[in-house]
Amino acid sequence: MSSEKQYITVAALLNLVEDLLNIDQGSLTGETRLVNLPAWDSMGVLLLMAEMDERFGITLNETTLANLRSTADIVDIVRRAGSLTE
Amino acid sequence: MIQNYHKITKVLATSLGLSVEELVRSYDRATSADMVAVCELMCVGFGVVENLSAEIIAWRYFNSSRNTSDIFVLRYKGKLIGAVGAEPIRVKVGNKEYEGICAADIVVHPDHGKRGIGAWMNLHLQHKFPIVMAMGSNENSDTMVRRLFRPMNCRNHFKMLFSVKNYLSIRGWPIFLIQLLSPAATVLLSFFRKPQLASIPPEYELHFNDSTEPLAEFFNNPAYHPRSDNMVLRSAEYCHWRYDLNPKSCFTVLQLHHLGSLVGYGVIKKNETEPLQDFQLMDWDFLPDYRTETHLQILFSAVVNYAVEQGAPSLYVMASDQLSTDSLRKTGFSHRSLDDGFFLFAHEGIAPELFDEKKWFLSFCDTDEAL
Repeated sequence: MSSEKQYITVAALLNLVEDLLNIDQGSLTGETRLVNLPAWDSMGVLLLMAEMDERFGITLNETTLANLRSTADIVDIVRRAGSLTE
Repeated sequence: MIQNYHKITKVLATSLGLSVEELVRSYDRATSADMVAVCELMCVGFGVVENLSAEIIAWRYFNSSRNTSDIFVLRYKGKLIGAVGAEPIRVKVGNKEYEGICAADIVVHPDHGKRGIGAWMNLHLQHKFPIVMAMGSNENSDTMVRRLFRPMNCRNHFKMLFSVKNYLSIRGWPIFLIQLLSPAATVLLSFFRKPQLASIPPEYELHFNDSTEPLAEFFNNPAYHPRSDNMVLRSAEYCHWRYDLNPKSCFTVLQLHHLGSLVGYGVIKKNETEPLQDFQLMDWDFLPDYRTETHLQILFSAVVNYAVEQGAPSLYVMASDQLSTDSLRKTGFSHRSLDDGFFLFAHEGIAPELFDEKKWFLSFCDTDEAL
């Protein structure tokens, strides 16, 4: 985890997830169902886990990952960690 | 990606509630006691797949003479939740040889899917072995494989059709029309095929054998050395395991002798089902002085004649090197629009020509879908 707490907007967070999943910018909305995306696979999840830890100090454990259904869930996790900004 | 291995391993371990050491220790070669659990995991992960029956898994990954295996498994909370086949290979790149593995049949228990486990299992193998090859991907692993490995687009598929009966019935032609057309079409195919087939010069002889035993003479010949291409090295022991002990398929070894010495071979996979299915030329090689287009055409023609005599409806060959693909075309094989690739990873420091697609020799022998 980087030493300084980082903040991110919803739009920037969605862009970050698009980068991690290697999909077109702008293709995710706040309600996109991740399970419907071919790129939401083991690799995409692993990269998201690493990025969440690195940027926000968030650990995505087995239970959290099992309940991750949509981009709204990711936004919610970052919000609860206090890293979401307007 | 491999640069982030330590960071990613730590993140995954934390996610699973393990230390890095515990995670790494949990991922190791299966022992023979794990075989039933591996079969069950494959069955849950892939469903019932012909290439992954218990018999094939036992042959492919578990060597009964030692209490270890060529498959890595991940244990979590007392259960096997992931597995990856890791067949040891020796890869020749230019004049250098490297130890590596061919990764196949990656599976994660569905209860632990989409948790990063499959990607990490691959990443760990890449961290551990200098060269990792993957010969294919399935719909669950395709994106991951393409992101972890470099795609190498150099598999060229060739086919020669001998009988149109199967060809037309697969395409839904009415039976009466197939019966009406196929005898004449088969004669026509034979008519057009013959001029391109090379005849065998009198000083050469062909021998056929249902075991790979004669190949020991070939590989142990002091004149033998591997092709100049990049390739996964073969040996008599490997051929014995790959073909003689293979529980799924039957093979015939064609040997080309010149003045009494074994100078080249081809291995033909026979699909001895009813009705008789397509044959495949699995692999071939010659002593260095005989690796010429002329000899390749002699060998390919002999394989064609053998397949026709056996009643095979068609013959398939996969090749990547220029000499083989040119010779196949000149023997009358048609190129199929199925060209695909394999996937490759290598540590820094491995000769860069490893990634030169034009320098690879591949055949069906190297692919895991053609057991």
